[in-house]
Amino acid sequence: MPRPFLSRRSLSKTRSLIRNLVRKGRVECDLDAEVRSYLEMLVAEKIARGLDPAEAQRQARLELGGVDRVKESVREVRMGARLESIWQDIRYAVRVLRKSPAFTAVAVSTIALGIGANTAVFSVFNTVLLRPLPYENANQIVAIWEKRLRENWARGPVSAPDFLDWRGLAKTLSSVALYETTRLSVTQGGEAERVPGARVTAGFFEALHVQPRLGRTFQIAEEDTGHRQVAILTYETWQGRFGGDPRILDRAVLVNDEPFQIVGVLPEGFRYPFAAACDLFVPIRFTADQRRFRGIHSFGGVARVRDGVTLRQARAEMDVISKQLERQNPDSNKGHAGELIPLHEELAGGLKPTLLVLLGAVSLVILIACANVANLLLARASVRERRPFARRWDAAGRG
Amino acid sequence: MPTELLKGTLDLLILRTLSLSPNHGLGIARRIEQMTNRTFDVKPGSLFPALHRLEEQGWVSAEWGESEAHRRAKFYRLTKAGRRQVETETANWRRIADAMALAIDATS
Repeated sequence: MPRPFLSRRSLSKTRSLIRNLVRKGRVECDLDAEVRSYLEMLVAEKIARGLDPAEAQRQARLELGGVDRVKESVREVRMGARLESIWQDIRYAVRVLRKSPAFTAVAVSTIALGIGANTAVFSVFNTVLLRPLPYENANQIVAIWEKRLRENWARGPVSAPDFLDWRGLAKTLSSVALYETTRLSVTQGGEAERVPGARVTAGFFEALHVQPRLGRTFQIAEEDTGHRQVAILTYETWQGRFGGDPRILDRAVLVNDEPFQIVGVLPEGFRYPFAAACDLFVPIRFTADQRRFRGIHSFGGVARVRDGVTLRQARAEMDVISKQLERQNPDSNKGHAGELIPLHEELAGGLKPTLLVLLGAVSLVILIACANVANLLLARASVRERRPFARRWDAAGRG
Repeated sequence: MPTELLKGTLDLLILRTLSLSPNHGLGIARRIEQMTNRTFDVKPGSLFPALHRLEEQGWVSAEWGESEAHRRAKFYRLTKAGRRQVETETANWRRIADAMALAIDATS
């Protein structure tokens, strides 16, 4: 008689284990009720034999030897049986695995590969899609693009005049800003170096809810070509390139051979959302042409949706504004509309389908790995069948 | 004179009692006393742990029901595995009892 894969006994053991673990309170209640019902029946029995109720109560309690003691000994038995059966399973598993190192190696490496692949993909998935962005109330931050229906372009860059109108008109957005990731040439000690940087308008750091550690953020006046040049450093640039100079706000830095007054230092660990690295920020300065021509699209947009406003409301308002601009500037803005996309989706959106497919694939891989190991076990089970019955009986007897 | 039960005998006695019909704790205790002519005195302190141990091992199952006196009581019944266990343990016990009887006869 072959030992079934999941014997009735191990099934009922599993059931009772689950009952004990999952519904611990229920089991306790049940035990309590059981002992109490026993006690009541004992009392009733004694009364039936002619004892008066008080005496029956006393004798019954005496015979029971304490409700709590009885319950405690039952608990010990249950716990003991559980530990014993777990320990037995472990010992059995180790014994069997030790006996067949080849099988063990194949099973372990199959499952290890499956788990490894899953861990790797999941950690990427977690970082990109699950972990929140490192900004305060990041779900209120949106990326803004200029949708162009005629060209079937869902996420086109933004033109300066459109941005200026949005900033002036939008009531549902608190900080509307543009950015442009670039490389800037920084000259220090006669050596010029190209560093990752970004041009941003006023309101950019406000949209991300980033307070500078030193100094201030950019102002609207600084978007003008007539204003003196200013720059903001990241904490890391301040510490590295400028040695953490405490008087950094009095210094200027040579960017593209022009002196830029340093007006602020960002907090430690600030991450620029739109590129892997960014050491230095300077304002976007709109040229006269950029301010005039709506057809020049060159920026990315970002904004924060006001507290208490839903994305749908903000989008509706943006549609209204876009319609209005379309009417006023039919030549340049026909079929154009501001498009709000949650920053999270903007940054991870492109990767999402790929990652989901990958995640699905590795999940399948581990399922296949499990199926393979199950096959191996089945193959071994036929070997186990030939073992003498007495041994199995002996093992069961000790359970 | 009621005697303390030998370790291991209580399990068999419970299983045999239940092989007649499902029963609750007090019923089982009384049945055992009856069957053994009051030789064994089954105390709740050993009866309950034994019942739960048998349940853990899957030889008996328990469910709530109503006693003959219309009281709520937990009834234990033998499972299929329990029935097999009764047979093996009974056979085992017979062997031991016969062996003991032989040994005692031979030395008396």
